[in-house]
Amino acid sequence: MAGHGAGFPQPRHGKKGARLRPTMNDDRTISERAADEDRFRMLIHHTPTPLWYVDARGADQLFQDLRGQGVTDIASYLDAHPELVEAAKDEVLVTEINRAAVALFRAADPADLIRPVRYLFAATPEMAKRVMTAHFEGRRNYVEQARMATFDGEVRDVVFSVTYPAPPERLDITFITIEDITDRLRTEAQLRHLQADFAHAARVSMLGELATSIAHEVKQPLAAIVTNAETSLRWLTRTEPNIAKARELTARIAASAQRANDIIQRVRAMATKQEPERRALNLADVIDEALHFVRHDLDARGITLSRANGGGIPSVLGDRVQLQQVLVNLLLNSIQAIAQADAAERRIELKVDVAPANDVTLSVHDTGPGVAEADLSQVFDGFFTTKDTGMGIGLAICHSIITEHGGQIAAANHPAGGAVFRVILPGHEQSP
Amino acid sequence: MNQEPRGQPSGPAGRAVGEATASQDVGPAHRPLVVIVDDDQDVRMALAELLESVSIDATTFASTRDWLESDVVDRPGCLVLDVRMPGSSGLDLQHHLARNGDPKPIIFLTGHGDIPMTVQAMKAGAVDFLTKPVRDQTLLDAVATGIDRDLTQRAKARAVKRHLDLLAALTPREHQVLAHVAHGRLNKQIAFELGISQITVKLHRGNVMRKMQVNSVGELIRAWEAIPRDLRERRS
Repeated sequence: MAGHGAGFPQPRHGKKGARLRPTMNDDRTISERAADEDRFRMLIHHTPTPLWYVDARGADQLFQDLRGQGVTDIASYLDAHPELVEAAKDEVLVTEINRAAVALFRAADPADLIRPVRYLFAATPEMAKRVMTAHFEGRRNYVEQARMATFDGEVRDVVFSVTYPAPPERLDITFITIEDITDRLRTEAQLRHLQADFAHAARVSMLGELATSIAHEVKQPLAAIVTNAETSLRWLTRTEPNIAKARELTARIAASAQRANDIIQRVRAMATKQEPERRALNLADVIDEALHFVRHDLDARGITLSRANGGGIPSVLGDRVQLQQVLVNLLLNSIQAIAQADAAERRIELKVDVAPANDVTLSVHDTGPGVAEADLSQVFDGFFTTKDTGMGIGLAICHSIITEHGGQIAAANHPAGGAVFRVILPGHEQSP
Repeated sequence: MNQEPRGQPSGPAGRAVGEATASQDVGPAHRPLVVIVDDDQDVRMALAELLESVSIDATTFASTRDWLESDVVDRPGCLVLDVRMPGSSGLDLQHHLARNGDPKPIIFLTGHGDIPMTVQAMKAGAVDFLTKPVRDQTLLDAVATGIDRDLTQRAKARAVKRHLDLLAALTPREHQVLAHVAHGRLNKQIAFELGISQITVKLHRGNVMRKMQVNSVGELIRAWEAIPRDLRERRS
């Protein structure tokens, strides 16, 4: 055992004679079993996962007492008696650790880890209660994502797993592993960030395509405002001013101005970069908003849009702007497909429905030429495009957004002609 | 259908072409009516209010189809039409009306004037092509022009109708004589052409003047010219 990092605690055994409990039909000698155990301990010692052996029999004693008093709802009981949790943190002892555990806590001396478990809960004190509750309830495992304070003062994100002993296992060994996921979480956060940046960049580029449409959309309320204001002036500058008319028209001016403002807010939400949120959304509302962006394009190209909403559609959990982005993207795709093919029949059908397992499906079916069979498998790849203009990022973004929302997106050719894009999103709550 | 009637209620009269002269157009059915078609409710209400402020009747529709399917009484006036709307566009309606021989003057409104579209609309006889937001006076001027144009067209149509009715009362021979007179031929030329005596030609001419209700040859020729060529050139 020499050469395995001086200072690491050597596997210990035989400290307490009663720890080896050969059963009646085990005919191996105690020393053979001890040697086995030693080898096992060496493996544990070198395994890269940080490990703790904990003697939690102190808690066992406490639990027996509580059961004797008729306590069943241990979580509430511990809430009411936090001092018990605090006491347990000092009574439950770490008996053994491995090299990885020492490295994780950046301990100068491995012996620093062989002490009451309190230090394991330093950064997530409330977890101790949940660990005890699981123990009391007789569960075999408890896993929680938590934070750990290392001895040199850093806080790491970890997955904390406990395996509780049950007879006939040795009751003095509760097994704890702590996996450091700080780097993984950081990478995931970076990935999410990149995805959001990418989605944002695609949105801005999409807004460029929609500039005419948006300008038209804003011009309508402005046109109403100008005309109402001028009419109002006409009524007011008469020899006998018509105040009632002027008042009525002024109210309409205010309403139209509000409408123009709403449009600008929608555009701004699309244009700004913000952290994606998760909110319960009614997909029909998201569609309403998305349609504001493409209505002019539809009209200009003589395309009729029909909508069908099934009943009892649950809400979905998601980012409003990103889901709008997906919809606008799919609609623009359909509009361009119809326009490019100069299709005789010019229709887009938008359908929202509820699928088994409370999923919400959204389909966009157009009367364009459809997708070439060979291209179906790559339409969601980045930089794949069949359009004259276009970077081929729109559908890739849709795919990444929908995947990020825990959903799926697929392209197909409709038996009746045209392409159909289907989005499936997990339902959140039953709609009211 | 989405008709939002405004202004004066329309009277019971139907298509009254030819039954009254312009000077008699005073009943509610003859007051000018401007038809506004725009898919944006705020805009069409605003336009109707503007016209109302200068005492012009207006009625509004959300789409060209709503208007075509409506039973709004035909009154002199004009159309104010957004060029781009869901379903049938303003230009489509212009073609549709032209095909059906309805010369109703059209004023187009557009969010952004694109030149090819403007040219197309103006060539097809639009009164004007205005960009939103439109200034009140600009629109009112265009509407006044549109209404005038329609009144003129209707007066002309009525005159043609009247002349046609009178023309129909002529005998074939009288019609022939009229055609020759209109072409500036002398009585003796006509007599030679038709193989009749000059006296008979004079007789026919007198009948033609009386039946066409004119007092001079000049008036007679103007009446003849007012009738479209394909309608006046009867079997010969």
